[in-house]
Amino acid sequence: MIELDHVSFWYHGRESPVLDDISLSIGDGELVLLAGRTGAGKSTLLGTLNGLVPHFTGGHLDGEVSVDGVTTRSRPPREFAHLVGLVGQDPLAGFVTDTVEEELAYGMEQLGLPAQVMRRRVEETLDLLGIAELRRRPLRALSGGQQQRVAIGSVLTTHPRVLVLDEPTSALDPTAAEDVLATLARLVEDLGTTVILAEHRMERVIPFADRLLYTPGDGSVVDGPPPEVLRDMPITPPIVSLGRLAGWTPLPMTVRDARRRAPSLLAALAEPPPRPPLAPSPRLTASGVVVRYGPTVAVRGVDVELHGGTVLAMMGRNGSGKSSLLWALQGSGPRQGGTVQVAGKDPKDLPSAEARALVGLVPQTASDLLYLDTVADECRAADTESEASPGTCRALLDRLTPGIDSRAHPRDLSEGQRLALVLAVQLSATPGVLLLDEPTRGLDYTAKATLARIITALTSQGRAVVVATHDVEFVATVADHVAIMAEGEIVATGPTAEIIAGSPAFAPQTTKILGAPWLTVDDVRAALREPAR
Amino acid sequence: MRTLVVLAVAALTATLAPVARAVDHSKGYPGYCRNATGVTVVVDFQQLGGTTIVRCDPRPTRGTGLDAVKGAGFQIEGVVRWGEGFICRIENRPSAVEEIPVAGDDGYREACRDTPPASAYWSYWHAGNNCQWEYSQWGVKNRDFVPGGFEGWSFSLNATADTNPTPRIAAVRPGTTGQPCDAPDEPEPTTADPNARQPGAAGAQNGAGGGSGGSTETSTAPGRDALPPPKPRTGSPDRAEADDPSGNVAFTGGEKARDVTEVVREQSGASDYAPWAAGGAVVLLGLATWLTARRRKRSREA
Amino acid sequence: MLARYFLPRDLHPGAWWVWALGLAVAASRTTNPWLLLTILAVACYVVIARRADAPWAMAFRLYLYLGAFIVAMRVLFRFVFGGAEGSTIILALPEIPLPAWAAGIRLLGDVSAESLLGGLYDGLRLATMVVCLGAANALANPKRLLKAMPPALYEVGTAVVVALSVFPQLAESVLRVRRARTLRGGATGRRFRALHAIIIPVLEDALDRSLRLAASMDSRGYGRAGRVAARARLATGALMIVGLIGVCVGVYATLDGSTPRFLAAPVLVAGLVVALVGFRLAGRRVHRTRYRPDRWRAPEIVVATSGVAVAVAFFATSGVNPTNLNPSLVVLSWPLLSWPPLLGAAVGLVPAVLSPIPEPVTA
Repeated sequence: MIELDHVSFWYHGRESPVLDDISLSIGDGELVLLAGRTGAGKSTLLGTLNGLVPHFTGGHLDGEVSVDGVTTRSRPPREFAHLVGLVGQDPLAGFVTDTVEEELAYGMEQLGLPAQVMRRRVEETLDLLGIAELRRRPLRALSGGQQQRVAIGSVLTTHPRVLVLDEPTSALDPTAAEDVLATLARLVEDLGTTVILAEHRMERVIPFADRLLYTPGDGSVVDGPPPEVLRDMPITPPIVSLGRLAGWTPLPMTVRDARRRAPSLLAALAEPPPRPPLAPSPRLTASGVVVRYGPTVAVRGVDVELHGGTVLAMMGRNGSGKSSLLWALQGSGPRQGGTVQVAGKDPKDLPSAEARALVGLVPQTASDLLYLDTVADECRAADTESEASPGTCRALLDRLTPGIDSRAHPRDLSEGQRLALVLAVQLSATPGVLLLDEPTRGLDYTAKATLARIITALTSQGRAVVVATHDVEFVATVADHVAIMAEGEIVATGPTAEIIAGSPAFAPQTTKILGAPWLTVDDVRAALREPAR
Repeated sequence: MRTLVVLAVAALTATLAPVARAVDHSKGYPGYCRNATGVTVVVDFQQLGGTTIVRCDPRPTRGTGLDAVKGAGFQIEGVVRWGEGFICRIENRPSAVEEIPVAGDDGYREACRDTPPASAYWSYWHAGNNCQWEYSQWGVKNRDFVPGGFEGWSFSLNATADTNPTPRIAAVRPGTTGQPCDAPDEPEPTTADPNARQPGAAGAQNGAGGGSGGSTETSTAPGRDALPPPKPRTGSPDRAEADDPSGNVAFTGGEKARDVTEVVREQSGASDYAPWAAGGAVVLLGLATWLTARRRKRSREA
Repeated sequence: MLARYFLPRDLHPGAWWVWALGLAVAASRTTNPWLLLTILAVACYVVIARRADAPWAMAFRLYLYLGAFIVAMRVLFRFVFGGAEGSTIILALPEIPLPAWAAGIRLLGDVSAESLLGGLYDGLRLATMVVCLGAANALANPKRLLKAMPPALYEVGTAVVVALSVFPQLAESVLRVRRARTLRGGATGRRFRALHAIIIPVLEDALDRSLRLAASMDSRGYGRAGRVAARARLATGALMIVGLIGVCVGVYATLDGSTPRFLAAPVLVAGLVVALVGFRLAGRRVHRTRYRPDRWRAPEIVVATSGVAVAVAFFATSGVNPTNLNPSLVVLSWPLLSWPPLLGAAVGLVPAVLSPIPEPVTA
């Protein structure tokens, strides 16, 4: 179906190629997972499959890429629309029309299909993806999961032979992510579509994948069935790390498989290490916080207490009020009721320069704060704004993520590096409380591990940190306390082990395999009586 | 608020007041002026048809040409665009339904929205007593009349700048035949500014003077829209003698002229009940709109 | 058959536009306040009765506010700049003397009822035309109108559709970035810095989004029209442009009474024909289909005809009874009105009764 023959690609003016002499062959009806660090060439590889690389992105492509016998060299991407359907990372940015029905029909209109065929296919696709009741809704009003399904539907209506998806579940909460992945699995089963999927959070997809492609970052691709490739990959989902730790062969791919082997491991484990108790020094006290946007109530009378040296994770589906609460706590967001006290003051009443010295917030789109041309300029501006001594921000940045070039443009940095830069900018005001809104979006495992390390370092300095996120694994690694929000209220709060171990949707993989007190692979590693293997 | 009330009362009283006769007989008197106070106004319909009217405005104070023609009792109408700075109808002639045989447009109708075309308009003349008619170089609001003299209006149809017809009444007050022509020199305008006033005339202190027209666009020079400034008369210095009064056409003092408002009403075929019907329709529709909006809003929120 | 006629559906946007343009053309022919108020009331009622429940339809009241503003400004101008045109002086304000270089302009002074009424009639005419256009916008989804354009103008229509969706995104970007500014300490530094800090991220964001949108459209086959010879493209392009110029000239000449007659109807018709020929030729080479295109059925024809009928009625009465269309302000009195134009304006109410209600929007 898809043939890559000695394909190399590099951008003009760059020394090292992004793809270096890759040869691949993907057959009909396979589900292929593409994994690798950010910036290692996953998106570029996906782009070659329908000709966006090099026709749209520029650069130089050597070798041949052919889909169903047609080579991409000769034709622009639009001539592949009936063969390859590409779904990008941000579905909303790729929508052309206003409503669901029209979006589904758009691709077919461009192909010139007759009206009757178009109507039939739209109905079929609505049913296949379970979005029939959404047909007349405006696209902006849909939830993330619904948008992603509509985006998949909009490329499915042209009945392509190949479906290419670039991080489809990155912005979704766990339940929506499960939905989308189940849909994709069904497509492969029922329709026989070849699906190629790039995903960071591999743990969800590995059970379904036929093949795993791994890009280590040097331009090559490691290719094979998942158990083989995972054996040697440096970054792995917890289930695989656990399997390697316990020496299971072949590596279990699903939680069911792993659970069958769990009793032998459990027998070898001592008591789980206790989590440290709460430090009795509240840095921030909020009671009865109310946030409204017109008639909609986003936060209904929430009480929060943040203690120095601990990490609180806020979880909940999109739209449950997490962001509104964080903004209200920082003082820059609207707050129609309740009180917030930080070091005896209310951040809302202070000018923003003083408020950020008490409570620092890193918003969802961190790059909104960056507007200068180089990293050095940003740091200098941050030093001026925080009234800190020159070089504070740069020193912080080096401690967080060493090796960032001062002359680099902030937009050229990777997601993780940009997040580190924004963190350094906000930390230069030395706030006692730090709030992070969805920091893990778009980060790969290594970057997430770095972030976890940064957060632990911050708490060891006595700061209180709040992380709002969907990522259960990350929460299991880094959080001491978890609060779950729904519809503007906190429905459950308590120590991490208590909250996330119980529910199937929120449990990390380690807990699903080994049971309640075990949250992460590191916990298991620390508790093994004898070293593994 | 008070203005609105006054306006409403004024409108009501205007409709209820005794209908003014055409040619407002409360102003001026028919015929020539009897002495050197005031000014005589001559209106010659020329090819429009209708008897020439001569009336006197006896005002002892100074005034503009517009004051003179209104003070003599004539009912005039200015264009919508420039207001009364350009007169397009005198005594409702040419009326809105009248078809004028303009060269190139046989059924031309004067709507009085913009400046009338140069082939069909009211030309403005003046003369001192016993003097030759002069085509006025100034607009009707921009010059003062000559006390004891004449103000002339003659409808020019399909004429060029040199062949505009003079009023067919000699500018001679009865009993003053044979006297020398005594009119002051009128300097020509130096700019095309419609608001410039004739120097020597009393400045514009009170309201009815040379102000801007009823529209906001008067600060632009007339340019393309107004008539080209009239060419100076060749070979006729302003001290020529008047015509022989025996060559006058028949004229009246406008005593029997029909009421303008009634004529207009007849021509328009207006009905007395139609305005009520319109007002009622507007009120009903407004009510229906409000009710429908309320009903749809309720069903939308339900 | 009657049941099928009244089945709830969204009419072809062209029908509503023809109706609204007919009303606007009729309003442009008159300054009689009775007629203008009637047209205004008719437009408002039809909008309220037949508009969809979508957000784009709710902006109608903005046009009403704009109309009221226009009227108020015209009256205010007459108040300030040129009052004493008539004989009924309402207010005697002192005139403000101006220096010699502004000799032609008069500030305040006596205010007469006739000049205020003149301003009112003038403003009311313009306001009515604006409200009629607003009615078209409220009744016909603008995006569906762009979809209904001929295939030759498809690219232009798509560009306009994409541009229309940029603005809400830009607005949302600006709000987000401004919020983020407060996190960095707010407006420290010069004004230029603060503006810089908002514009750069917004523009970068917009550029990113547009690139992603372009990639998405390219992958889905946009522009897949196939190769057309350059000469054929040039010829059809020239035909279309010449035709559109002819239409513009013809429309202007028809609506403005003072241009020579040969420019009006003949040029309009000729321009229309040439433009249509160009469209057909250009559209024949395009291999794109339309999903559920709007069709012209009986209700559309009824709606469009009613608008055209109003315009025709006003044109006809201006030939027969022109005085009513432009009431004179010589003598202060209620403006005259005859039955023909009033009944003509009332014909515009037909769509409120004889058209199907719009498709209900499911929540």
